[in-house]
Amino acid sequence: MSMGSKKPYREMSDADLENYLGGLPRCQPGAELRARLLATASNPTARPKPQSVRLLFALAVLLLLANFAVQRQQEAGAAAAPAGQVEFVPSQSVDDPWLRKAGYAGAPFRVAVARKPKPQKARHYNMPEEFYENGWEDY
Amino acid sequence: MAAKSEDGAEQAEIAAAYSAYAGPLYRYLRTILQSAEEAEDILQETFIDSLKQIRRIGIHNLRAYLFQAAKNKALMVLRTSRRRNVDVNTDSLSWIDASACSGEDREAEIDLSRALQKLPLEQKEVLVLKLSEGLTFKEIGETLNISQNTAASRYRLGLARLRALLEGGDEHG
Repeated sequence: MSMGSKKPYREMSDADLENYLGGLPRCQPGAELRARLLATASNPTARPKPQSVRLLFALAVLLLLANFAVQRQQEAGAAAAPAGQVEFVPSQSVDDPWLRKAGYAGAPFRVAVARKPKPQKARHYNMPEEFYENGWEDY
Repeated sequence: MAAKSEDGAEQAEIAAAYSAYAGPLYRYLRTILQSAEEAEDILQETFIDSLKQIRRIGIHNLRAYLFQAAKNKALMVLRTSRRRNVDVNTDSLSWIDASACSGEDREAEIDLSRALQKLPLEQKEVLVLKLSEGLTFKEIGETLNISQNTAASRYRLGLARLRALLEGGDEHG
């Protein structure tokens, strides 16, 4: 490196080194960049979108599609449900391991849930059974 | 009509800012990113984003604002992208235009690129602003949002380390 007219670096003073490195031809941005920049500035829709905006957009589309699919499935389930029967669609996922284990592997599936039993009054050992059936009035 | 004149004003603003700062910003970005393509991409993004902000909030030191915005974007790129292997023999990684160099200047450019790869960002950015743009320490401090003394000490440390690396290259070369 240190051959020719240029002095070796070890023989250069700090000022020489600064002058030498500062005096070498400096690079410039490409000429087309200026034109591209001005064109982009005059047409805001052509501006490159940041990655975060693209990700947000993709997420919004996915959410919309998922919501649409859930609605469709719920509508189909509601139409097929027999009148008067309490039914729940616990999950939209066909691959739910708990449901698969319980034998609900296919979709759409429905699980009939029994009504919650009424809470019973505490019974005393020497009270007749009619008391609990009819209350105080008839007893 | 008003929108058209506003667009024209914005274009004129961008053109003026580009003439004044595109070169220094490009050399700064190319040196800290060590990639010409990424430097151009970030330069474009910086101008578009920053000038929108300037119109909205008003900036009194445009150079400092542009350099800070460009640095933030460059740091994002450095953090998110895995640095590829760069061949210093074919890629120019400094502020020097390799295509305009010949003979020993070309070799000096390669040596400088190789040495800059080993310097920390804080020293690299001060070196490029001082050696390539000829800014004073006060201007460097204002541009990088550091004190004048910090800029000077980073420069001295960076230059000493650069010299040691270049002299190492002398011995091996």
